[in-house]
Amino acid sequence: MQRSHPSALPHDDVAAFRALVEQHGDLIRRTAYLLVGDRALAEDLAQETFLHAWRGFDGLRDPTAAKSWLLAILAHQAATWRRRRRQVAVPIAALPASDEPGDPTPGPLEAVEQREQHRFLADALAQLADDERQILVLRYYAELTVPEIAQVVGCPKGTVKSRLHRALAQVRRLIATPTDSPENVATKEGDRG
Amino acid sequence: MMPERPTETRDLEEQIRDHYRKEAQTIPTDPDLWERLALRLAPRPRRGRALIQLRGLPLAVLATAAALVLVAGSVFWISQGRTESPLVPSFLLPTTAPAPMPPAAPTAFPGAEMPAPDLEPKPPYEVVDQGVRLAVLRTIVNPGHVTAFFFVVDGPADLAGWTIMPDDPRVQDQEGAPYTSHLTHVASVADVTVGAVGIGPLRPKSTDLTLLVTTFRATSPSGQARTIHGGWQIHLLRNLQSVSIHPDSLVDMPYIACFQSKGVRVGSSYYDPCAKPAIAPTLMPAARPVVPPKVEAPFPGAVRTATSIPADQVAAVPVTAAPTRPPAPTVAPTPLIPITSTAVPTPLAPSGPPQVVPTHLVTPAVPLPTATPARLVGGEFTDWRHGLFGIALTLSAPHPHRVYVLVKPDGTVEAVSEAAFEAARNER
Repeated sequence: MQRSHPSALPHDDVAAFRALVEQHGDLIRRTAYLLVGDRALAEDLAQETFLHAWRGFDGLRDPTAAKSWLLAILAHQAATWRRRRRQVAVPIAALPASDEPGDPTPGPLEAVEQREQHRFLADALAQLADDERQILVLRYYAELTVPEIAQVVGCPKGTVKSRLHRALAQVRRLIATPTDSPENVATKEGDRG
Repeated sequence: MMPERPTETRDLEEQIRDHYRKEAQTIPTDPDLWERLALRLAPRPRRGRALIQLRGLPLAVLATAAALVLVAGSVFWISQGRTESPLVPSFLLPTTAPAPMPPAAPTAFPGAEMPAPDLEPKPPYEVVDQGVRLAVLRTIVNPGHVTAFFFVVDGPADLAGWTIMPDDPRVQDQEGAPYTSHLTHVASVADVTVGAVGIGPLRPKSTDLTLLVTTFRATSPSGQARTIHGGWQIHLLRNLQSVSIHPDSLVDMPYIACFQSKGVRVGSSYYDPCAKPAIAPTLMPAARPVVPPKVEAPFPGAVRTATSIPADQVAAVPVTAAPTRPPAPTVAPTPLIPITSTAVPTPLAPSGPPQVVPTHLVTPAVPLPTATPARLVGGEFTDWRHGLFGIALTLSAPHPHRVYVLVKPDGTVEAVSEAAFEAARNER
């Protein structure tokens, strides 16, 4: 890519774009991480997202649409990465489950339960298909509405709703039967015996 | 003991939301993101230049060729003994027969650069006569489909609360050939009336369009009517065909963008141009030509094949280039001359119904497009297949709200409800 110092670029454009980056930079980086589960890759995707955004900056007419616009570019970047990834294992399952407690001062037993709950959910979310995970991330982290998600992923609103419903159902199902639950472990051990 | 499952303790959606928030927080804020990103920012190529480069013609070669043609042309004119030519710059004319120059300013001195002629009167896009101010908010043009103007009328103080609409709006081209004008009342707030004029497809020979009004009709809420005679003339388009317009493109000129009068503000687009932009002033639509991002599946709401020409850059902005009909690779294209307006103290044309040209005689300037419809952002949309445009304007009074307009292929303009607007957009 051609390199150029920002001072050589139109000042107004750079200033406006910088405002865009500073406003949405963390959102894009973190959303990228939630989508791909790899910090370095997420940083790369975020950078590429903003570079694409810069090239198409003229296309942004509505400042209120900036968030959705950037997320759409990010979604496209992530989809491209997924296509290239082919059968390489997804590191999503390696997402570190945060140990930050939800409540300020949980008791020891509560803390254990919370961690277990968190782990179940994290495992379930990690097992979702890419499109389902994308919908959930856009909906519950990026806080997009269904119409906005439809714009971002480029599909009808009905499809978004069905994917959302399907993803939630899948999460419920996975939580109900976690892969390392005692039932499953016993079943596996029984199978071995 | 089996831990309590999330579905049994809290709503699953809240659990997921909470989980994602916590996971995201593991990515710390990057204060150096911009600094690292800035080093990778490259100047965005101009679309015309990009097209030329795509076709393997370096811009420098074209510039040289054009310069040679220009010099050859000037030599020809000089050899023919012509003393003035509209095609040859004055500095190329022989000194024995200088081209007419604008009168020098009193403070001018030999060698001083001549001031550029002021083609743009002030205020640029509005005209006042008989206490009635007529301003053009926005013009959209697609030669093969529609041309529509959105205007605002601000009446005199004694007509506060009246709806004031042109009684005989006439749109004509540079040769005086009239267009069938479809006039629509869009909204009225206090002393301000918002309306639209649609004229359908633009004829190929029409390069300039002028809106003429000699009579306004004011109607009070109680039904009283008053006629105001005068002369209002606004040049809506000038030298339009000096730039190439692809059939799938839309020239969108926001003109004054924000009209303000006695506490009433009327914005020319879905979001309020009168309000301060949320991010940066340069994101205002009046200053941003629309270029699709170069991603395979860009955000549809932010991409269209239209060009927004800033009101203050009308003379210089390139209009959307056509993949199948790229702009002529001239180095110095004839600029789109700034739109001008002039107040006419006396009526320019006799009162009466506007001249009508049958629609079937109007030849589309370009063949109908077949490309995928482009979509405007901010609630606005285009539907090339059905020749439908949806435009939203914002009014600040009595409370901030939007008004919605559909522009149809025959040039008719219809103010519709938000629901009808949404329905039209969803039916695309």
